[in-house]
Amino acid sequence: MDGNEKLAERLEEVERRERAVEKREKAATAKGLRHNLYEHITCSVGTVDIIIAACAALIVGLTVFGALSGGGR
Amino acid sequence: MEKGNAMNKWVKGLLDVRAAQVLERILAVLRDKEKRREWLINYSLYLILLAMIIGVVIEDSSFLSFSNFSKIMAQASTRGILALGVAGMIVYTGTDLSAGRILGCCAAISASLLQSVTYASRMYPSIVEPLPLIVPLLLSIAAAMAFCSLNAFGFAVLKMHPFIISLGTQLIAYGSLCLYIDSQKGGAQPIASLDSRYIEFVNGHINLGFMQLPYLVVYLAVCAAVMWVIWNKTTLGKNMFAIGGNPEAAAVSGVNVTRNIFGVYLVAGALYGIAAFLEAGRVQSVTTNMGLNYDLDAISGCVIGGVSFTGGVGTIPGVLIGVIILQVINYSLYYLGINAYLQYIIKGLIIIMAVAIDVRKYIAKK
Repeated sequence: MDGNEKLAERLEEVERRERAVEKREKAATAKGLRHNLYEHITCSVGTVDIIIAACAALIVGLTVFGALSGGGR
Repeated sequence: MEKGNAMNKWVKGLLDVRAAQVLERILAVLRDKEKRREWLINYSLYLILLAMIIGVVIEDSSFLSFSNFSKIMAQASTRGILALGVAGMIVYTGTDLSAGRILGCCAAISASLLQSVTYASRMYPSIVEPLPLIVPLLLSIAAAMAFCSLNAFGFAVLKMHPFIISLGTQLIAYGSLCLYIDSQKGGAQPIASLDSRYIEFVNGHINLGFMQLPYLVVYLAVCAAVMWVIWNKTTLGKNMFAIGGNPEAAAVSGVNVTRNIFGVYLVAGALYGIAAFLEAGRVQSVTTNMGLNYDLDAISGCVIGGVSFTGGVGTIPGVLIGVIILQVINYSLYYLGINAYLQYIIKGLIIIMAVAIDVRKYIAKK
């Protein structure tokens, strides 16, 4: 067995272990051991950025509106 | 003398190096467009807060006074102690919606046992000698721990989602609080006229000359220090982060998940009990409304302070900063004279934004 074959075998072994850990984690989630609230989020980073920007705009807008219509202290 | 000078030079050199490193990091962020965008998004909430404070200071410069700061700190202290308990559960990927109502229930217990013995309509006329303060405090802690055990049982043994079990506990605690306040001889009335020793113990302050440091802040600092040790230096704390990060891996490594969850919930219960005892003394009147929305304040304080709902992430200083930031926001909105209903909407948006930033970090990492 040459070096390349050994390396390939080792890589396969590592990948097999990783798959096993993933499988166990999925089983743990299904059993209810893991309650990651973000596990099932499917939206992209861009969408979340839009939500953050919208929230920021609303907070600033409402604060300014509230301060102006409330007449300050 | 020579040794002192050398020491000073060494410290100055060290500070210069540190300052240069920080400056270099800031410049790197400013140079890279992508990094600049990331930084802006991740710290957008803090930037908004800063803008809010600047706005308030322009409106009224007394906002920055020491007395105002100590008022903010005193108000944040009981919520801070509550948040320290809730933070442990969030690190476990859980949460606690019952914290506020548990606090209300335990506050009623503390206040009823520490009503002035000269008050004719007190809840327990049979108490003719003032009780030592430690007795109601311990009872409050025991009651809070009992409620938290219920949450821990549902979460760790029955594998229920913490939202559901803590929602149930919230209603149980609220029902118990209403029944307890209703059981007074004169019917449902606020539990007030508290013992002067109790009021002094909670609302007293240390005179520092330039400012008065409320005892409440000292109590918060003590609780935070104890929690820091528990989180960072004990097996319970290490296991908490291990389970929060990856429960499967922790269980495989021999960590007793159920026992650790119970441990963290009981510690949280002790904190709720202490917070309840202090809050009753601070407000000096306990009604059925006591504790309403305190849990949401505690949860949002944790999220703003960087405790992630993905689990296994969070620090005690972060929690404290989050709670103080939230309190400063509350004060700022009040100072700006914003309508109370509008304040709820703004606070809701702040929570959504904090969670969205947390989600963004999670998605980007994934």
